[in-house]
Amino acid sequence: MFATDHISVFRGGKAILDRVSIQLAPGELSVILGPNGAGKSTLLQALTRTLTPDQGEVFLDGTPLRELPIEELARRRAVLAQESFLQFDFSVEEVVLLGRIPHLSGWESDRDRDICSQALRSVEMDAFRHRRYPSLSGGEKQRVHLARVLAQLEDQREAADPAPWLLLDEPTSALDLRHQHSVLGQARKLAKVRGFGVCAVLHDINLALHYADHVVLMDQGRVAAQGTASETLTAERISEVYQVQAQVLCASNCPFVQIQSHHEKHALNV
Amino acid sequence: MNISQSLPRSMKAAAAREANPDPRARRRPAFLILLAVILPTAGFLALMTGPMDLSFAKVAGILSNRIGIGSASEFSMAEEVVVWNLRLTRVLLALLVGAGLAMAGACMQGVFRNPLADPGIIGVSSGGAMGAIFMIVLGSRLMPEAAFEGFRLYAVPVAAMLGAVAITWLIYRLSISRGQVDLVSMLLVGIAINSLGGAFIGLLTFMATDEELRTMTFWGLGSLGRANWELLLPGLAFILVPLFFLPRYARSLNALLLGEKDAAHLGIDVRRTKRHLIVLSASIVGATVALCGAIGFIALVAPHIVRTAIGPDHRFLLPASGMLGAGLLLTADIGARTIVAPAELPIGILTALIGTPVFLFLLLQRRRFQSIS
Repeated sequence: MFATDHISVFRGGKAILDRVSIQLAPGELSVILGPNGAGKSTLLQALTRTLTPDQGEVFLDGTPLRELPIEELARRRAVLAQESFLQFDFSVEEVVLLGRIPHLSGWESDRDRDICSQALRSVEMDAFRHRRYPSLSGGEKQRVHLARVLAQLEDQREAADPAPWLLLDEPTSALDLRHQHSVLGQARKLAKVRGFGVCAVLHDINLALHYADHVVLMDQGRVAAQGTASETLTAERISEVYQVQAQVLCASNCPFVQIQSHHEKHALNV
Repeated sequence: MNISQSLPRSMKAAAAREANPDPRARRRPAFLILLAVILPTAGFLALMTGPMDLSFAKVAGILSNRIGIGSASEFSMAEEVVVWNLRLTRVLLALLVGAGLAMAGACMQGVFRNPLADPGIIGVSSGGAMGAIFMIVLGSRLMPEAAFEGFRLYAVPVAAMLGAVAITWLIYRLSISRGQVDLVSMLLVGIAINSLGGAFIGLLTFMATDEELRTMTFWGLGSLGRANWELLLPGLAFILVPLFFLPRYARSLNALLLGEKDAAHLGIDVRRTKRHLIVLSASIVGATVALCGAIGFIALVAPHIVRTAIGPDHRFLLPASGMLGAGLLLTADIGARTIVAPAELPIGILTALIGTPVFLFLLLQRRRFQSIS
């Protein structure tokens, strides 16, 4: 269970996060949504411990996050950043093996290599194993890093051990349509089949409606609403938070949001 | 029938590639062994070469006699002095300084996440030189001459190390923005610090006596000419000891290449690791500057060649760079001693001749890479 208890973050006298309390359960795909500047990324940074909130506390399975040793934290949660700065000439396999660092004391074993092969297969990058990382396209790089964080989460766990967490910061931003769906489909499978906790910041409301079990809708540093996707993402709320005219429609049993732009609204009113 | 025989040759070749298809990974053991063999060979050649050419048998005889296992060959007292006191100390200093510069360079390039971070170019060596000069000027003014002589052997390297560490920290702070090291800022800070270092050396020139003036090229271009057994002691203490600690950080350096945030997510204590690595690598550079002046480009060229040959994994990069840097500096020093014999070339001229093209090549490659992305 990942939870924040009334966390606030202030920058330059302004509250970027204002007493945010959320609870995320393992076995579900949770999605943080909201317009630009709503505090999505800041909230995720508080969950990854990239920043410590000025007020309030973040808990991972009941323990305050800031009290967990950083090495232990690395074995219990992995983070996929929005962009990567790796410029050195590693092979794709070497990049994925970096994900095993928290689990190693010496050299990688055959088991670590198997885990990496498996991770590369699951993001459909196994054919690229021996390619040089800098020669890949942006989307391919993103998938290699996804394989790296998947490899980081593999561990020998007892049934009673707390579920590991995968935190994703806009994982679909560099991907084409097919890979957007494949990444989120996989994140959901990780939650449903293996019981991992997964939390992703997304921009696309329709992707959230399609894949999310739990949605946290942020607006101006506060939680505007949270709950199941269909409860949270109503036409009124989307219209209010995003300041657009939204309609939630249904096509072949699958809800989607249609937006009328200001421009069209004017055209209709005339 | 054997299945492998029925396969066409091209498929067998493909299967072999698949078994170990990364050529750099395959090359690693051979590359490391090759370096480990070449290094003592080059060292021995250096002992034989010079204004007085000595045979293999004589050098071997002198060494074994000194170590105390007796000697089969005859040699004169003068020859023994040349080999044991002049050449051997110089070879050992070259190995120590070459390995130190190359490993410190590889480490800085990891911390700055940039293969262009050469301690000479970004100003770390100037920082070391300023610290050393400051101590020399201050010490010789404040203390009686005789007292300073014993003190300076250790005080000057320590001052140089402090100068190098302080400057490296400054460069790092000034060139980092949003968790990323900015190449242009890093190089510009280097220009500024190198000009300041030049001014400092100019000040020393202005204040120096005639005798001191002759050794002035020492700071700018470097020389191994001061080598003697006494000088090797601070060398061992200030270069070899930190060198032993660097490989422990190989895994953290690999993680740091992903960026500081990603490294932290992998469980690396980024602030502490960075502090340790900057102190270790900058003090190695500072110590080399105090002992033999600012010898440029070894720290750039050796890691570059190793990365090209066997990849950027620091677990191999650090030891291989150390051996290659030692070998390169040793070779350059043989050149410096013999090309214009009996005079001696400043060694920095030779390292710059190899290093500048490599630096420009890396810079151009970088620019092409950045214009694509």
